[in-house]
Formats: sequence, C-alpha cells, structure tokens
Amino acid sequence: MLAPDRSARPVYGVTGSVTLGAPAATGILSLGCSKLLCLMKTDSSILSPSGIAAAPKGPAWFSFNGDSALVYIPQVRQLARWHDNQLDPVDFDVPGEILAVRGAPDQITFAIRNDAGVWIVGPGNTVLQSLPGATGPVLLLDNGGVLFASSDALILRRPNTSDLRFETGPVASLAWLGEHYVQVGVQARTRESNYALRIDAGHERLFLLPEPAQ
Amino acid sequence: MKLASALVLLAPLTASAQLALFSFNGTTETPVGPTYNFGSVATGSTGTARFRAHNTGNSPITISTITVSGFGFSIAAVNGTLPYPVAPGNFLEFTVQLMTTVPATYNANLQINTISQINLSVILLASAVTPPQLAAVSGCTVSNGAFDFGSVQVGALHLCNFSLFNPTGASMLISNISLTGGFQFQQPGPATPLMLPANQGTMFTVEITPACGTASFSGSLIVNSQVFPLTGGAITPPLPKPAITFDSASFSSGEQHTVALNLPSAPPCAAAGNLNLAFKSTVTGVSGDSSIVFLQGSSPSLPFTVAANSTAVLIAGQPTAMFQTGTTAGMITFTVTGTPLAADPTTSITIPPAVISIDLSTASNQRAGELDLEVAGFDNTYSAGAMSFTFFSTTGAQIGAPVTADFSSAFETYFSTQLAGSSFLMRVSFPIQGNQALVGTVQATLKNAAGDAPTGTLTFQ
Repeated sequence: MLAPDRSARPVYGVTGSVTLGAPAATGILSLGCSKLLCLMKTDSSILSPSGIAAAPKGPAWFSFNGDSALVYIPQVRQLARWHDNQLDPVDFDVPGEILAVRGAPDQITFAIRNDAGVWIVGPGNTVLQSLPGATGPVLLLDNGGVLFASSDALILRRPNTSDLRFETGPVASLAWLGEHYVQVGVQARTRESNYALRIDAGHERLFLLPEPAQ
Repeated sequence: MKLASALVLLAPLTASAQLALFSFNGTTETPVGPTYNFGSVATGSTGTARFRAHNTGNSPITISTITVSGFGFSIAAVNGTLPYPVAPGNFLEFTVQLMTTVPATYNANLQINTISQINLSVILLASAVTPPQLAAVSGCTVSNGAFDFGSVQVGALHLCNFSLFNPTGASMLISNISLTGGFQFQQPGPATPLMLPANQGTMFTVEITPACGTASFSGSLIVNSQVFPLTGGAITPPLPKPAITFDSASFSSGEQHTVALNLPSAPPCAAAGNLNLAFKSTVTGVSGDSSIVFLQGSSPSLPFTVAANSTAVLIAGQPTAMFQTGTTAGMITFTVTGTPLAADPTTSITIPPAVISIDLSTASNQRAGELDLEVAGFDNTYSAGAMSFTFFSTTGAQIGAPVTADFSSAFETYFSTQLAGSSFLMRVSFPIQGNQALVGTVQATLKNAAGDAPTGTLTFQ
C-alpha cells in the first residue's frame, strides 16, 4: 500500500486482518500492484521490484495486464506501456481529463471527465458508458466493471451495471493493491484514512488498512 | 494662620536640605509631612508602613541611623545596611511596625540621621481600636490562624458563612470588607460602609470554586485593616467510570470493530489517558497475535482526551477507534490508564475458536501434469492439517474416492514462524496423468479443531 508518509509497504494477512511490513521504498507518489507485478512512481522514475525506468514528473495511474502495465502520467498527459522494466510510449487521441486507463495498447479504454460529465470511452472514442454522479477518481476493472467515487461514497459498478455502494465519505484516490484489492484513500475533515476494498464478486468488502506504526 | 496654612500646602513633605521622606504603598510614593498617621489599627494586631528616604540633592549622603521612639513602634526592616550611602536621586526604603495591645492613641518620633548631620524627624500617629469579631458559622473552621474551607472538589462551589460582630458598647464603622485569592461573596455581599450597632453583628457568605489543576487555594478576608487568611485544599475527582462500548455484541476473528469510551457524567476538569488493548491467546503454544491492534498507528494503545464539563471522549482525536480482532482465538482486554478513575472499566471480549476461514480459493490446471489448488485463509485454532479433496469430471461425475491428506506437520512448522496470527496461503498440487482438462471441478474440505470448512466447488481454469 501507499502509506500516508509516501512509503510503499507490503500488506500481509487476509481480508479484515492485515499488518504492514517495513517500507519497500520511500518518496512514492503512486503505487499499483497486480498478482504478478508492483509498480511505484517516484517524482522522476518508475520502480518495479526488478528494475527502474526514467519517467516524467508527477503521479501515475496504472492498469495491469499480466506482467505488463499501462502507465498514464496525467501531469504531462503521457501514456506508456511498462514491460521488461522499460517504458514504451503509447499514442492516443482522447479529449478531456483522463481519470483511468485499462486494456492492451491497441484496445485501450479510458475513463475521462469533460464538460458533460465522466464517460468511459473505448477505441475510436466510442462512448461505452457514462458515470452520472462521478466526482472523484475512477478505476477501470479487468472484468469490465468500474469503481468510481461520488461526492460522499464509493461505487462498485459490476459489468451487469448493478451497483454496490460504500459510504466512505470523500474518496481522494484509488489504486490497485493486488489482484482482488483496491486501496481507497479517503480524505476526512481532519485526517486521511486508507481502506482496502475487495472487489471479486461475492466477496466485496471494505476494511480499514492499518496506519504504519509510529 | 492663613500664611502658615499656605506654607504647609506649598511644602508638604518632610525634608531636611537634601533628605525627603515618602510613604510607599507598593506602587506609589506619597510625600510625608511633619506627621504621618497610621490610621486605626485593630487592637492586638500589627500595622506597618513603608517609607523611602530620598536624596534630593546633588551630592551623596550617608544615612547613619533610623530610629523610632514610642510605645509599640519599631523599625521592622531596612532595605540596606546602615550606614547606607544614598546617591543623588536615589533612596533608602525601610518599614516601621506598630504592635497594639490595648485600645489607645499611639505616637512616636521617627528619626533619620545622616553622617553629614542632615537629619529628619516625623511624628507617627496611630489609634488602636477594638476590632470587630469575625467568626465562621458554618462551612469552614479555624486552623492555624486561618479560616480553613477544608477539602473542596475542583469545579464545585463551597460556601462558608461568617458572622461579623461588634463587641463594644458603641457603634462601629466597617468601612471595608473585601476578599482576595479567588474567593467571592455570595450575592448580595456585605455593603460597606456599614455601621454595626453596639453588641450586634452581620452575616455574609464567602464562596470558592477551586479551579482545575490546583491542589490548594488561599486568599484573605479583609475587614477594615484586619487581614484574615482563608485556605483550603482542592481535590480533583477521578474520572467517572467510562463504559467501554463496541459496535457489536459478538466478535470473531478476521473482523474490524469500533470501540468507544462513554462517560456517565461530565467531569469538572479535562482529563487525558490511554485506551489500551491486550490479547491473550487461548491456543496452546501461541502467545500472541501482533495483528490485534488499533488500526490507527498499528498500536495497542491510543491516547484519549475529554474536555471539562463534557461527556464526549475523543480517542486519538476521533469519537471511536477501530481495531482488528486478528486471527487467533482468545480474549482481547481493553483497559483505561493514565488518569484516576472512579472505578475500573476494564472490559474483555472473547474471540471464539472457529473453523478455518477461507478468504480466497482457486483451482488451476495451467501447469502441465499438475492440478493446483490455492487457498488463502486463517485458522484461529492453529490446528489445520487434515484435508479432503473430491474431484469431478467436466461432466459432473465424481472421479474416484475423495483424496485425504494430513498437512498438520507443515502447518505446525509454518505457524511456529508466524507472529501476526494464523493467516496462510497454501497450494496443494496433484500430479495427474492423462488429459487433465477432463477434470472439471474440485471440492475441498479443510479441517481443524473447531470443525470442517468446505471450499465449495472450485472450477479448474
């Protein structure tokens, strides 16, 4: 998980009972993990457990596909594919603010925000879905579902468009924590809390992640 | 006569060439004329006056002696050692004391001499009068010459009723009744000036509310020039016994719950302490579970605060604190420390032994010649090992008899290395000959001391 002190820490345990390990890296802006791969974005590079590649400044959004990943860096509006510890630029032509990416380089789906709201668009800017009420971060799921934040809740929209709503309060960030888990950063009035949301069908559950020990 | 009066007004201070006398009340100086009147002093009490002898000239002088001659008068203190040189514009301070024993008029001569024969004298006047008698009627007692309010709880109002009596056969003027040190009159307080008739008195009440953080209090009740010490001790009451409450009445391993501290009444003073949790395992050979912590700070202890006159308790700044129940059977005990409590609120919750909790289970046929079963879960009894597996073909037909296995030794070895509970991820692999794609599903049952936990039907993929 990405801890409030910007350290990347392993999370051990099972749903609802986890502990944090020692920091694997510090100075991390963004983090994402799948079953096979963990990527961490520092201000100027992307780290994996086995390598490092220079990258533009700012945080990044990750979308995993086996042992590779799509990496979107919103500050410079650049998309790239991570594989074998290197970044290859990926061309795209999508208007609006990109909130999330998913898919293989030739079949990328984007979640975008424009004046009309938040939309999910596919290749050729085909509108696949709209997300009324989406005000915060978005995560596109491998199964075609989508996780997005409204002003005061987190909504898990399954592929059949049925929704599960979690009353989290204002969600500030969403990041992959593992194959079936998403880290949900919630900014309350006085403090930031991090939850883990288990997203596999039939096992959906939101639980609080521990804070690092002082 | 008119000329003499004019001279007094123009030169009121007693001065001898470059030596001038002033009285000093602690903040301001007042020129002293040929006489100085102490005023009325209660018989049997002591009156004092502070003076400053100033060098008003342009050259130094040295004060050699300061004397006072008259019954009851004495030099109580000199702020220097005589002979004392006084630079131009500077002064020497000293205190004259009068001790009265009988009602009478008292007078004395105050003499200040210098080695250069620049001398100065002042007539001191005073009258000792029979003082009014002050007595505590209720609410306080006389102890060591002071009115003692006793031990008073902070934040609580305590009253002492006084009587002020004129023991003489003539009317007595009470020009001043006042308080210092945080004491107050219960309204309406005594109005002054007050003329007490002969052999009569008046009543009034003094109140005190000790402030939080104080251990004692003191002040004075002043009647005319008499000063009566007031004292007392402040007691900070213990925090009312908080109730430790939870968001649930029953608990199991692998859960997160909230705990709160609820006060039955508001304390008069702010308080702070710690809410702690401690886990005691009921599993033989397992001493603890480091995953059983408050999630804030991953700590077994969180600070709490409560404001004065409030029942709201904030745990690490929040109304509630979330904790994990971990993955070990046992008892979690919550305690409150760090502040005196009216009673012990210690509360325990029981985490009962349970069948193996299966968090995630998958079946894979992606490795050639192997069928793999992965299970993530926890066993809060630490007794896992025995398992059975029933395989079914893609058409739904059971393949042979269930396969049983006992991995107790492997689990024991694994658990012995774990400090953060009993969570595990296991993979059981079955070598297979022939077309493994014909095996469609598997049902596994994991056993522990609490019973059987089935995985349900897992499809190989």
